[in-house]
Amino acid sequence: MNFSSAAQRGKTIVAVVIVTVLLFIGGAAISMITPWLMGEQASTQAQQIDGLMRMMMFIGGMVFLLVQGLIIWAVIFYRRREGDNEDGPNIHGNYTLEFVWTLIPTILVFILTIASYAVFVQTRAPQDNELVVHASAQRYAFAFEYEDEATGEVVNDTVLRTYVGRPVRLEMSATDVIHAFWIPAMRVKQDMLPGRDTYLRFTPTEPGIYPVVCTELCGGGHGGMRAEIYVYPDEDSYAEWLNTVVDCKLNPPEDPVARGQARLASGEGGYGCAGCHMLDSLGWVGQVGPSLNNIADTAVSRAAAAGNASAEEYIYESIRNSQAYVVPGYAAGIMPNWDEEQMSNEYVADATAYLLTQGQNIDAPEGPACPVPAFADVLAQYEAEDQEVAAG
Amino acid sequence: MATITAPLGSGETQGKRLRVSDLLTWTIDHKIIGLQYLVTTFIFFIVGGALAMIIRAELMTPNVDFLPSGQAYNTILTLHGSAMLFLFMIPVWAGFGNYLVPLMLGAKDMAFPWLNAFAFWLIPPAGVLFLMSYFVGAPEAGWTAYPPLSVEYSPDGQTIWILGLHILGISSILGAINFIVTIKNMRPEGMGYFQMPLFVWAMLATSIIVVMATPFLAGALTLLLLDRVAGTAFFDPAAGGDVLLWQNIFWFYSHPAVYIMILPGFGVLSEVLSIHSRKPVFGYRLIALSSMAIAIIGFTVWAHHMFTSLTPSLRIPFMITSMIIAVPTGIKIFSWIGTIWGGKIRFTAANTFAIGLLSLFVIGGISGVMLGSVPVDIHMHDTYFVVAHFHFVLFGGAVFAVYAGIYHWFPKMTGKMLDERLGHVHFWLTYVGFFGTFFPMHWAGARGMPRRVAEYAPEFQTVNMIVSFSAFLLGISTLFFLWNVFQSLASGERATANPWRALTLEWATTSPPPSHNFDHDPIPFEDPYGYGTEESVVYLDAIEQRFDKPQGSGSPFSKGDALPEPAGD
Repeated sequence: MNFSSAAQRGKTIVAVVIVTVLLFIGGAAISMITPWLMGEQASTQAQQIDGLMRMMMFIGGMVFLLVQGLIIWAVIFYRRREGDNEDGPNIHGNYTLEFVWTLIPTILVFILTIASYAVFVQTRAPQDNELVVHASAQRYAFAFEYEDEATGEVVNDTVLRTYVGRPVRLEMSATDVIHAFWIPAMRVKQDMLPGRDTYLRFTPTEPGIYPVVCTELCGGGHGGMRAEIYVYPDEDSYAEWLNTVVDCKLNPPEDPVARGQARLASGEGGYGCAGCHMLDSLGWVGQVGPSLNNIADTAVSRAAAAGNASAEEYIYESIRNSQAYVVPGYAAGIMPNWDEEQMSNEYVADATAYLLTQGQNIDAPEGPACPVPAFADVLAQYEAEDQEVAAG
Repeated sequence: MATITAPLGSGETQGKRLRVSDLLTWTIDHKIIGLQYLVTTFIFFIVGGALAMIIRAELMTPNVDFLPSGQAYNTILTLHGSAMLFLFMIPVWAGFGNYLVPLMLGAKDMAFPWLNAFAFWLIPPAGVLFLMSYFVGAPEAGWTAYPPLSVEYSPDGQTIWILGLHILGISSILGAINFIVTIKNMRPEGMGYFQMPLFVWAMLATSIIVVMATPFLAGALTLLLLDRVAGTAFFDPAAGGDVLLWQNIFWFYSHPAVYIMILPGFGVLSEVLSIHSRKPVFGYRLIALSSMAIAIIGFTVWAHHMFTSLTPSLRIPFMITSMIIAVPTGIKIFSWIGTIWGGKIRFTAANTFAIGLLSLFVIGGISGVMLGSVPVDIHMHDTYFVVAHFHFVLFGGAVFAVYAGIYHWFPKMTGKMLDERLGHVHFWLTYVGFFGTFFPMHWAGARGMPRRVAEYAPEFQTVNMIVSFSAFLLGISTLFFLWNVFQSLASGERATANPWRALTLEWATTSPPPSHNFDHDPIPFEDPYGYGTEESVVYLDAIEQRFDKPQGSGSPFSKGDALPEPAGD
């Protein structure tokens, strides 16, 4: 860079100003794609983090355009011409320039650090009236526990439910390996660590169904370790669900089959059955272990093949001690063993009773164990009302 | 002022043509050891690349269908990561370093030649152990091997993986000690630290990191091994251990290890850009010192790999250090642009890869700053955004540097020129394949696709298709490179001593150099990048005169001239 004459200096200043303006415009344009990059936004945390991301896309976009622009400029204008065997100028550096390109990145990362710190504090700030939900993870399923404030009753579900505007505090644990709990639409993630309690906060802003994804490699079924979060439009619709399940819990069915269905469907105990097994009647889609469709029939034949056991014993024993009968085609030891401390006798008996109804020509219970309003209907009703408001 | 510093003499010894059998023998010649490293690690690179092809074939559909199970997928993924990082990316630089550092210093060999050979010969058995682990139940915990998965669930192959990695760690440390001593003690007269070529600076910074960080990996691996085979419970919370202990020690090594993989590449870049753009390196001191700055700050950022598991109050300090480390990296990028700016850029294959590296690495740098910010990282952590980021820095950065380095030094190492036209085909296929493979991953990750999954939500199928087909293109591009190498070795144009007219000392001897490197102690040019001066032209002409115009013949070698056969033939 040559500042020898005033004209030269003037030209340089004009060039710097033009480049700066172009970079601002380009950076702003790049930052406009942030919503497309990040996807749907369903929590206050998502709004805050996307705001930060937009700022990073702006600054990062300017750096990107500047560097690529300089490279392309150099490649076009400083290429060796045919027949030119001279060397380039013997320039070893320029202190002003080197100072500037040390200082500007320093300022930029300083700004980004401060902004990131502010957003970090914001997104994690404790809120009044938090809904506390316990989440547990076991290969390859999540399970959730809710405490009903009115009755103190604890209910289970395989779905995380909350409602718009209510801050949630998830208290998390893992029993076997490290898992991570991620709700992409909420922009929140936290590892679930064996032996350490962790927590996560978010405040949903949009009703809907959003995926929950495990993001820490936890074994062969890691990719299938997913759950859903249902965000109810308002407290009333959420309370309706909660009251129904608490009612079911307080008045358990007499029939062990129905009890077994209720226990398995709710993911009680966080045993993660649905993460590995397929069972159409409960909507399980696990691929890691053998399918439980028509298990009542297969249990009869496998028990016969194994010798003297009955189908009931076969199922009961397979839950307690997974090595007792290994299904051909599956490795031994994939499934944990559940002793009496981890899983009560009543639970195993009820689960066995229900599974024994899963076969052809056997009367299985019709309909869900606990008739909660279908979430799809809740959403549809909300959207209909929403449109009415908009129209009226 | 115009001191003619080129050594004068006549009847220079010409290096012998290398035979395949030379690569299989125990030798203490640093050049053959360097080639042994390069060939061995490139074989592992191909193995790792083939594993990546399997990964991409599986990911063309949302369900597990190409491979038998998710577990099988995890073993492939673990071996891909482990092979690429520990068997290719880290030792390949020891290969370049071995070949080039003594030559650049005008020395006859490394400080400890025997130790050097020993360090290399640890690698083949370690690599075989690594890959053979597949047959006793392959490790399935990823290259990061987080417990409890790696202790309680991963099969016996994980133990073998630990042993293999232990051996590689020993090899790294021995190699690094050798580099530090060589660089400290064997510089020629007239070459202070600030007259060293920047590749030597980069190897020095890298070696310091290796010596300081690798023992922590050894410690972590020992604990993991004891937990697996001796019933200890360092990482078992049920018995009072802590699962985060592994993550802390592992990343205390493995984050600096990222710089072990990229700093030598930065060194290569400085050499190639300056020589092929015919202009001195811009801001030599700042580039040299920023390598050291990165080496030091690199030890304070490890927990940014743990932003979703670390105690929340500890996350902020690690964010601050991680952000700071962006500054020296930025300085380097601008200095390299300053180097080519106003030069006479020659688009040799080496330089094309180097400039391509610049344009890719800056993207990895920007996504790196994004990931350094705690709130953004909490969303992006362990997603395909991270996969995109580290492939942009490690493939777009380090692998492109390896290619630039090979195109640049191949004539010196083999005495044969590579085919420039094939080199350009190789570059463009690699560049386009790379971009199509790794750029769309940013979107997939930000939108909700976690990494290390064999099955994924169907909405990501289109983007994964694009990624997979680009990855296959990337795989095919490697074949052009291999074809180029084999063709050139068989019938390539004979290389002169200094085909790029470079001022560093490795070019002041024949191609390939004789086993003792230099017939007379070479005298370094006062400035390793002093292009554009009359003195440098005189120096370079003198080298040409001396090595490439043998007595009695006025013309340099022509195509097809044979190198001397090895003795005994």
